Amino acid sequence: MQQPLGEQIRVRVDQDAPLFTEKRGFREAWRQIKRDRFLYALAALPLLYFVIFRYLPMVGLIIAFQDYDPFLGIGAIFSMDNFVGVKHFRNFFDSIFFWNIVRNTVVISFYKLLFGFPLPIILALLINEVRVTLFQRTVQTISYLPHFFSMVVAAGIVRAMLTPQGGLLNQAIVAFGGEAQAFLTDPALFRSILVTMDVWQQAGWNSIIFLAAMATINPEMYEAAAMDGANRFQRMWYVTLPSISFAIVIILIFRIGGMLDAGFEQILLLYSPSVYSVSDIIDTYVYRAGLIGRQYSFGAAVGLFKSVLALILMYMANKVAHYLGQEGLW
Amino acid sequence: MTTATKPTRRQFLQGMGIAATGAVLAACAAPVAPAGGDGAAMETPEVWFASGNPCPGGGNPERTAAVQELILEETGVLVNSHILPPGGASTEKLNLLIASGTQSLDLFTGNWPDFKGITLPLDDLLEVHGTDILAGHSDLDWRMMKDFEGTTWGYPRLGLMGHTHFPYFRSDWLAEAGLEVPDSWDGMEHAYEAMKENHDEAVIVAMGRRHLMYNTLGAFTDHGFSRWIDPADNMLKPPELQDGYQDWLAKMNEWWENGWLQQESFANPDYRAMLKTLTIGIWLGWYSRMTIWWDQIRTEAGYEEEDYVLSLKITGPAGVAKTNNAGSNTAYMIPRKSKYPEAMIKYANWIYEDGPDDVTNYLIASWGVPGEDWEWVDKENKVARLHSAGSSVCEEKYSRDFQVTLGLGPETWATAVKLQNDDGEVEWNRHWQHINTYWNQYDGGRMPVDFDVPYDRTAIRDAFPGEPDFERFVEEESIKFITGARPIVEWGNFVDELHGAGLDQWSEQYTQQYRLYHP
Repeated sequence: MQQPLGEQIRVRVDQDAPLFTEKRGFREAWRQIKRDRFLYALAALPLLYFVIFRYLPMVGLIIAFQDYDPFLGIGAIFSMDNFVGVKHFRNFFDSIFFWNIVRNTVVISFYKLLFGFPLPIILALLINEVRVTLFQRTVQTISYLPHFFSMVVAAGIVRAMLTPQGGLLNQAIVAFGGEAQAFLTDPALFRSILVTMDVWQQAGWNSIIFLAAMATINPEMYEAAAMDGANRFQRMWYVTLPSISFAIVIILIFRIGGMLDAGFEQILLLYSPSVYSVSDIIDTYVYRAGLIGRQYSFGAAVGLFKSVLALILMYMANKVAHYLGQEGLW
Repeated sequence: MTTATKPTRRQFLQGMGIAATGAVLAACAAPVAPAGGDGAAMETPEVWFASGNPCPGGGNPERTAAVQELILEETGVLVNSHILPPGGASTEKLNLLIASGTQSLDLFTGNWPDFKGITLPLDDLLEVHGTDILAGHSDLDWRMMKDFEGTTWGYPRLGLMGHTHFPYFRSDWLAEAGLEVPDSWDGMEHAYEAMKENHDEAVIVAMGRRHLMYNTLGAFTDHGFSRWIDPADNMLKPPELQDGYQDWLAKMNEWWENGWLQQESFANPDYRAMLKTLTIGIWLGWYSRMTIWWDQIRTEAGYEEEDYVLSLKITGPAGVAKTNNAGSNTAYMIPRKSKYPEAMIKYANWIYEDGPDDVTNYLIASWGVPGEDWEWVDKENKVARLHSAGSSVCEEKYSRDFQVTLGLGPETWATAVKLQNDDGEVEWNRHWQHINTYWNQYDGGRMPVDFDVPYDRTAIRDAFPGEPDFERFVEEESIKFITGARPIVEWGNFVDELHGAGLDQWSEQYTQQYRLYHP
């Protein structure tokens, strides 16, 4: 009986492979590096970028365990004189706002995930179904546009729309006999404004990756489905969605991993003491304590706490992806 | 004949790789200092200030260079400035500049106790190079610059000020209602009601709770917007725990519920845009939004009728409504990393050196080169005419880049100068006249109990890490009481929560520092 292909290859490799030695392993690796030197050269710069800007700064995390004074220079990081253990973590956990800040971060992120994740998929599905190319491109361009506004401009637009002193929305409300309202100072509305703004700004841009995934679907699958009598909705449901499920899962894992990034710039530009109770997140707290209040070590401790939580979330999301039969990130 | 050979894909990739690597290495290399022109220029001390600027991108580069040149001739010091962005980003950039190992910094402003440890003590420098600076300030100003051991950590920027908070009333609306400028709480409310009757859009604007308290809290409490000694335990307590604060909250809530207070008064709106809407009946914010911003808006729009007038003193049920502003320990400081601290003090002293009678040097630092950017019309009577300096267009003028004596001292002397341009008065006149008239007039406001104590907030925060949370809690809950998000009947719960947030620690830390100065 013929062996399966995988077994044949394994057998051939096992037979051909010389006895492994460490020296021979290095030589082989070096031979491969020499062979693919241009590819490695191309990869070198991005790697250098990650080393310099992503990994080396991690050394700075040590200040979370110190009473660090940045004005004393970078050398002070390596001094044990300032070591205070987990004092700053304890201070954060003891803060009267600890649970409020964590809750705000999680709740705002969750709302953004709940509304901001499926909408780009729906938008991509709808755009994919448009058959008039000019209309399709026009819709795509218009939906991408807000993504290119800087957050300051976008927040300015939102403020101008919502201000009770002549804001567009309030003018409309007054024209219909209602009373002008200060939406941005209303704790009951603030999170809804954040989520709406986020969806408006990002849904179009985030749909690109799903549109790209849809472009890889073999048209014969649609033809086969049509011949089997599937209508457009059924083709979307049974062909398009399963075919892009890998992209959906990967993006979902990324979104869950970044779930604690609840939108620092957006909130910083829109919030005020009136709505701190529903809007102050870990990042805005770190900003106020660290960069404004110069409590750098405290800020670093809170930031590290957030990063550890994000890592746990990403690990759990990846596990769930595997459990559901998807590839996941690793 | 030669034939051009096309590069192979490999050569192309090699070339790209080398170019990209070179670019990265160049970008990561240490910055190269600009070459000096000659030997003498290398000896010139070059100092850098970090300061805000009316023009966020700076003024006209040629005018700035001309002023720089003049100052170099006069003082032998080459001056430069890092312009700080407006708002919260200013603190962020300043902190980065101070911590930077590559950017020079020789002077910055802030509350000196926050920076103690990274700044130079100035006693010796002032004694040798800054005698005019020393003579230019009162004993109280200098007391606020010293720690408990008597070391001076800066020269005064702000101190006790009488001019920063006044209620401003829309003068044409008052006239329309046949009313005089109010001087009582009831009169103020009556004036607003009359304005509102004629102009439904009229609102009262406060720039947040802090300014609202500066302008009004004294009408309901014994100490106004001030920490106070509680006779029950002889400890310092926050202003919010005074008798009468609840009444003030109730009154503010009444204003809110009636729709009198502008709804974004606690939400950092764009106040300049708000001023342009001409809907503000009463302004209860920081004075310069009226003396500078409103004056600019009025001039640019050509308003003749529309204007604002201030009330010198409003008296309420408990007394004078206003609290004087104890700017306390805001100072100009020299960081330890400064290469030329002597030159820095020498330059600042040059601005002070003519004293109150001749402020030419101050005007050079503020307005530019005499004869080019401005000129004396009548020096004896202190009348000056602005040329390019009077422009409201940043690209046309020198924009105060090298001014390192704002606030008290030379600025208060210079405000005696009457400014002109070819069309008559210029915008800064109103501002300067205001400062000149009121900066040391403390009678119209309550004096804060601890106005002469330069608190070390860093030390307080070290001992009581929850202090920023405590402050936020008080702010947030007070605003809830004003806006009705929390009913006033919950006041007792709020006080209990204050204890949970660390009231006792707060009280202990502030009292401890207060007692150092008031044993």
